[in-house]
Amino acid sequence: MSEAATDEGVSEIDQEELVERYYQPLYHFGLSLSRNEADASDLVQQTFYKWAAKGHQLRDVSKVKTWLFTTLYRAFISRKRMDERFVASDENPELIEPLQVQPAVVEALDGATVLQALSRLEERYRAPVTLFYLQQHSYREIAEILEIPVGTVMSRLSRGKSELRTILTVSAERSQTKIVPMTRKENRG
Amino acid sequence: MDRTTIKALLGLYREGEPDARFEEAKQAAENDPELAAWWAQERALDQAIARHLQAAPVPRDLRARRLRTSVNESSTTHALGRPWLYAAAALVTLALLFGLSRSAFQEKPLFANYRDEMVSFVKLTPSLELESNNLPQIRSFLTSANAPADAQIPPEVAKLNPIGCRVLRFRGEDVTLICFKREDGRLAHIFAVKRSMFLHGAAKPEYAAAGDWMTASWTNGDYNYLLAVQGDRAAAEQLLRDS
Repeated sequence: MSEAATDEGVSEIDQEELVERYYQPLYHFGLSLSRNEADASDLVQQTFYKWAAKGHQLRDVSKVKTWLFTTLYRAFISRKRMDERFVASDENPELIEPLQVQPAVVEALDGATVLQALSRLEERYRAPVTLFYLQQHSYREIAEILEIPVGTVMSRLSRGKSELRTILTVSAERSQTKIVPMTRKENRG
Repeated sequence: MDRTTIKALLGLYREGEPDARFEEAKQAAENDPELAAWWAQERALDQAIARHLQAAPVPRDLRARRLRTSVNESSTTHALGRPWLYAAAALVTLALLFGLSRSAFQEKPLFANYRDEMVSFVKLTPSLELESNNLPQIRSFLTSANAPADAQIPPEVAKLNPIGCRVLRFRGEDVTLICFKREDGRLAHIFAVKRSMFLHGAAKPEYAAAGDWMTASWTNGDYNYLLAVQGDRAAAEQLLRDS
């Protein structure tokens, strides 16, 4: 990204490139958080609106990406009136061994299954796990976006990924045995 | 470091992360074939999840909606003496105008990826941009959206009742999605995208299963078509028998 820091902040960042680079991962983050296309789109709109209004105040050009994701996450939190991120007392800081998933589950994965599984994660895990899989951020950056310590990011990731594997495995078992047809509506082709 | 901790760390391993425990866990895996095999499987799953998440379709009108909001809200809530706001809006407009052209210089995407993404999208019961039982109205909407509107609907599909349409994006190109209701109450989805998107393309339908869905793809005129139905090959063939 062509960009320049000035005394007035990062106003010389190439806006076009900024949009091109981040609107899709921001949407995917918003979709995973909100579990709703319309809300995800609104979150992205809100994020870029705030960028247009306040982005020039950002002094460190290297923080643009983190700023955008943090802004989207805060907008989501604000909408959900969710304050669990401030509650650390129930956090178990230990990392756990991931549940082993059979290769057949991996082969059967598709976009719908992944999005459904992410949407069924506990909210405290959904944000870090989604950011992990978007592959845009270091753990330190994820910690900045979610405003929690790096250690908490890692413990939530550890548990969230394990929970995700459980969901995927159960979904695959149900799909194979045809016991429960996922959450698909009957009238969908 | 015990084996459980090593596996926990390997599950979070990322190249370049400063935590020294990662390298220790990695070295343990390099010296333990069983652990290495476990880790390889773990990474394959992570890569598959990441790939599918990052490929989730993005609403086609997202950038345009953001621009409208940005311009409107800026003009009402901020001082007019901020030319950078207008410059930003102008640059975003440029992004809208020229964003599509970038794809022309990129490598052609794989048709299999397109097929998988489109099928996974309709599995999620997508909302439609236009709900209508009137095919000319649907075509009119698609024309106004500058999306493939003159798609050749197979005769047997055209006999079904349309229920609406939506425009999707795939690697920078518009994809038309028209949904029809089948006799059994389930849906048939027709996708149309520029033929030049793919190297792949045959006039006769080629069938491929995608989980419990069946797809058929073919080219006709300027477009590459994809039919997706839940069911077996016979369900798809029935809809293409006179094509």
